[in-house]
Amino acid sequence: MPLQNHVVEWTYSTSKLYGDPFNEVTLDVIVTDPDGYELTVPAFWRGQHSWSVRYASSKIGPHHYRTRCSDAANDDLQGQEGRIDVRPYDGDNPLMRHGPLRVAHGGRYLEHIDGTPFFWLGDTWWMGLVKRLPWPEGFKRLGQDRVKKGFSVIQLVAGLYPDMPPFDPRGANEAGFPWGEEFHRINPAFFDMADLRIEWLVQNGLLPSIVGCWGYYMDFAGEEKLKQHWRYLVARYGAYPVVWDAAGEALMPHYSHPHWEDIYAAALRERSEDEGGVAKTRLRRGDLPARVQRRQDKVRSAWTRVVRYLREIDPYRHPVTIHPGTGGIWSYDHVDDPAVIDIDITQCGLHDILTFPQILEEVSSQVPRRPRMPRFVGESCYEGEGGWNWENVQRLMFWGSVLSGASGHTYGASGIWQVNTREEPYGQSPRLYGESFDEDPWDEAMHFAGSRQVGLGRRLLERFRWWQFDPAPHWIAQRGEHHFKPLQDYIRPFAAGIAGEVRVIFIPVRYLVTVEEIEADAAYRAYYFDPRQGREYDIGAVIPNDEGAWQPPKPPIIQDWVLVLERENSSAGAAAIH
Amino acid sequence: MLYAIQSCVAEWAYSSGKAYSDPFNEVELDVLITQPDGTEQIVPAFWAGDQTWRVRYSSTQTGTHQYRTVCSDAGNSSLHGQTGTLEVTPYEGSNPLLKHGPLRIAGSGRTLEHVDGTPFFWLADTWWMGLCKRLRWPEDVQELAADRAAKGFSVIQIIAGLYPDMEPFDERGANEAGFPWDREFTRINPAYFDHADLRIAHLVRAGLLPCIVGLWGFFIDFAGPEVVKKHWRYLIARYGAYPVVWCTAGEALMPYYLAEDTAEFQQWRTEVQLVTTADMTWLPAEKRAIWTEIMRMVKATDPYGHPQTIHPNGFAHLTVDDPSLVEINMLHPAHLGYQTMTDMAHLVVSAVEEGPRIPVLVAEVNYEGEMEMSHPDTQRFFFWTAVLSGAGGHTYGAMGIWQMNTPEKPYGPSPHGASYGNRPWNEAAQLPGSTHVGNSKRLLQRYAWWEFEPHPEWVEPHTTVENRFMPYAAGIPGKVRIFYLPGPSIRYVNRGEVAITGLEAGVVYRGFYYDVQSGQEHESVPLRGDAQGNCKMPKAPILWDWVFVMERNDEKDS
Repeated sequence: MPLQNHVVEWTYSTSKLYGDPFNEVTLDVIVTDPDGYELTVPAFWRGQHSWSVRYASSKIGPHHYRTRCSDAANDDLQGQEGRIDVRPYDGDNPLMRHGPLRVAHGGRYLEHIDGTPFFWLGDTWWMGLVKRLPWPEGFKRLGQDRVKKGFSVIQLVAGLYPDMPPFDPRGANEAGFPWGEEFHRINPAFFDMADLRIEWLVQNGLLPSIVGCWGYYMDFAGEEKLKQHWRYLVARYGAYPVVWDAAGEALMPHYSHPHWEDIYAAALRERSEDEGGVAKTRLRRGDLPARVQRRQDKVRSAWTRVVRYLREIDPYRHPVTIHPGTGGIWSYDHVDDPAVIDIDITQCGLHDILTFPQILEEVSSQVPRRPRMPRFVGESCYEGEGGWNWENVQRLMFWGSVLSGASGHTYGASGIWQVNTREEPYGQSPRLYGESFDEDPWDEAMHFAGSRQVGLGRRLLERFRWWQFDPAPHWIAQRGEHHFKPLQDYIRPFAAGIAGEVRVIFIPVRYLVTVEEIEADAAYRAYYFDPRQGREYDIGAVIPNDEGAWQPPKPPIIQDWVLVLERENSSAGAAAIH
Repeated sequence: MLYAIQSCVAEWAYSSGKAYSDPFNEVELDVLITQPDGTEQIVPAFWAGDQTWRVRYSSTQTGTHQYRTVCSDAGNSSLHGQTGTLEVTPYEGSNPLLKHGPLRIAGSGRTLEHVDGTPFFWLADTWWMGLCKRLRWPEDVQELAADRAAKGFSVIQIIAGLYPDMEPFDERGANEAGFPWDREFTRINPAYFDHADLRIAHLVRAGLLPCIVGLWGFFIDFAGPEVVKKHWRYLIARYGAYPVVWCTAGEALMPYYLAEDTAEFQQWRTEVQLVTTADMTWLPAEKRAIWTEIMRMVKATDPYGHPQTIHPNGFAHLTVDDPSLVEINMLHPAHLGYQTMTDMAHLVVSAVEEGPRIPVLVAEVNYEGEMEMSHPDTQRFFFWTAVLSGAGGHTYGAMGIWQMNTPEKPYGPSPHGASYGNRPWNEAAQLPGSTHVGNSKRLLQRYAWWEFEPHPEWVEPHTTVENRFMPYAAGIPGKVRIFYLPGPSIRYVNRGEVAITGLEAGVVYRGFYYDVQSGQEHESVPLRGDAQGNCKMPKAPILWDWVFVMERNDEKDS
């Protein structure tokens, strides 16, 4: 009698011996839900001669199932039947209460399957399944910190990591690696340990965005093995509320691949040719040598097939994305057919101080483009990376994105994504000629101020029907001029909201704005929200001039501010999710 | 006979038998001192309250000094014509300010040195309001000074009671004895300076040279030029015997904040953001003339010839009519973190290449923690781009210290209505940038840094006016080269795209990366030029900004 949206698990064992059970046997369970819909739920190999099934449903009532095995003659695995009665859940875990995610009607944002909007605030734990982030103490400590700060998503990789060659000891968990040598078969014990961590995230309200592998495993393992990998992940974790991220930096070859150097050189060349050195790392067709482009095209097609396969076998239809890298800077550019992805994410590329302007520009200009789908930064300029990109950059990235129409944001801290420990920093990366990234240990990096501040941002937005917000740069006129190169074109105020109801305006330090086009029939009250501390400073009634413009008073401290105009007796917050 | 130690302050007093109703304004007392080598100095005395005047004096010469008082009231024999002898014995301690004496401009014109010729590296911290009682004496002052001395700072920039960011006689500017002047600016308050003395003397004892800013510039509008001249005479009399640098005024030409609705202030606000154009001709000529006159007066009154400067918005040498009065070219870029990094680098390069040949200093940075947008990365960038572009040192600052926020009570709003943030001074003191700039100074002091010249051509690609995030280089040909590699340039370095050029034939260098964050040296490699005198910049171990050092390796060279 499982609860609604909770995972139920059961196991089949067979007395028939297989030489290579993982590769010889495929087991599915056909579930008929209370509405009569049939779902084909893949089972996963548990080791030896056992297969387990995980299932969850948002539908109350009896669910009937029957097994279907590739070895139809094996009665232990074929034709087994049973019934699950799902009971209502009345707890307060939003992932269980509202169910897994889907793309909302209109395509602009994500929502739970009961229609409750979901604000994506991700943290980046690419290597969060390694034993260097010790289970349970370290993992839970980091997770609890993120829950407290208001994160809703953890992005982690299912064992096939970036920044290392396959089978690097830094990628192991307590049971070794996810696959055996030569990628012949999966190592179920690796995933038994991963289960503990994934389960804990969900139980604590953090939705796992599971990246199957880094993109260059297409070269190491091949398309067919990656399909097996994905089937295994769907079987293990599909019953949880998750998002699938097909691959990290999907088209990027491994750092040791000769093409990697060509791509990197092209990215740096683009940058150095730009005025002031501001990064223009968006590589387009024609920027790369033909032989490199041929490989990119081939790999893109392969990932498109893997994503299609993933969609076919996932009975839950979890949203799918693919993390971009080297083939453009959006997911959209990493598949042959954009219809196979549900979420379009972008990443920062070179990550240093000169990179964030470009990504901000991309988000503000590209989010509204067709086809509409949830679109946001999926890998940020990590806080503290290279000793740069501190909380001021994180605030700008968050507010500049969400007020430009992004339906969420992914934050990241240097030191966490690679899990530096106090005793042993991650060390050398195979990329970039052997240097390492920063050495901040994860338990220091988790206290970087930006993580708290993006959480404050989410909480402010969730007072309102943020999912109905439209970017509205015409609502503000910037007063005064700033002349500082090379960043002055990028650091600027942003505005969004619901016309006639609420306006949210991010004002970077030292900027002054006039609020314009105030509706004649709307009586607003205003307050300053401190994006660093979460404090509020009431301004009172907004009294526009005859032209409908209003000049807010100076804020109390010289820093970034969020100016909020809320219609008196507004319903904008009535349906907000708290 | 009075006795004193070389470079240490001796003090004695005169009381008038004649009572004056307004002694501060009625009487001026000087002491004419003849040094052992026959040089004469006119040392101003200061009114110490009631009918008493005190003299402070120090000398770098040892031996017998003769003195005689000269009073404006020549008929007052208790003040006029008093004579005596001061015997100065050698200083044998280790305080560099006393051992080597006060400062002067070095022969190169680019750096400062002690009067005995020992080079002095200017690494200043910014304590604008360091004399107010919110920074408690003795515990707070001593704690902060000890922290700064331990980190390697050599100068404290501090204002003599007439502060920025508040109106005159704002309680936040008071010390234990009130304000430096009475409310009408009629006379000085000696008790205020008695308390200030304790702090100034402590800084010198701690090896921290006070750079005394007389007042914030807008006080010229509140107090008038004649009062400002009296203020300066008083400061010279009180503190000239210490090793100090005089900074005539802070943001000398800036109007008071609440003048913001005036056309002058509006123009100020707009133009001040364009200071790198070096066009400050729009500024009121009248005010520039006043400060010129005051700087002349300070120069004429100071018997010690301490270096004098003025704190500007933009360039010090363009703040007065006669640039020759400005002996240190203080620079003050705008404060907008990442947005102003490039402009700050332009400012230094422009001052070094186009300004007078005097020491150049960025004298007010984007404070660490300011508006939560200037972090240690910007502090490292400011320090290294400045000193490798020809600056003779650097001034650091932390938000929370300049205005002396306390844990119990943050400074609060400035006159324009907003505050600069609440971080207390003791937390601000621990911001990492202060350690990073201290480590940076220590590295430079391994070498004859005062002989360094900028050599951007030693590295390709290098910083240009179009891109200030590419490598910087300076050093001494054939001996030492130091490179600063800003964060965004590291990727080019590690791809082997950055070349060290112009290497001297037959010279072998020991090259190593120096981590200014930890103060640790990384493993060194031997470096020599190829047939064209070039070699590749070795790869950096971590993807952040780096300092790379090349020392001539005589052992291998031979």
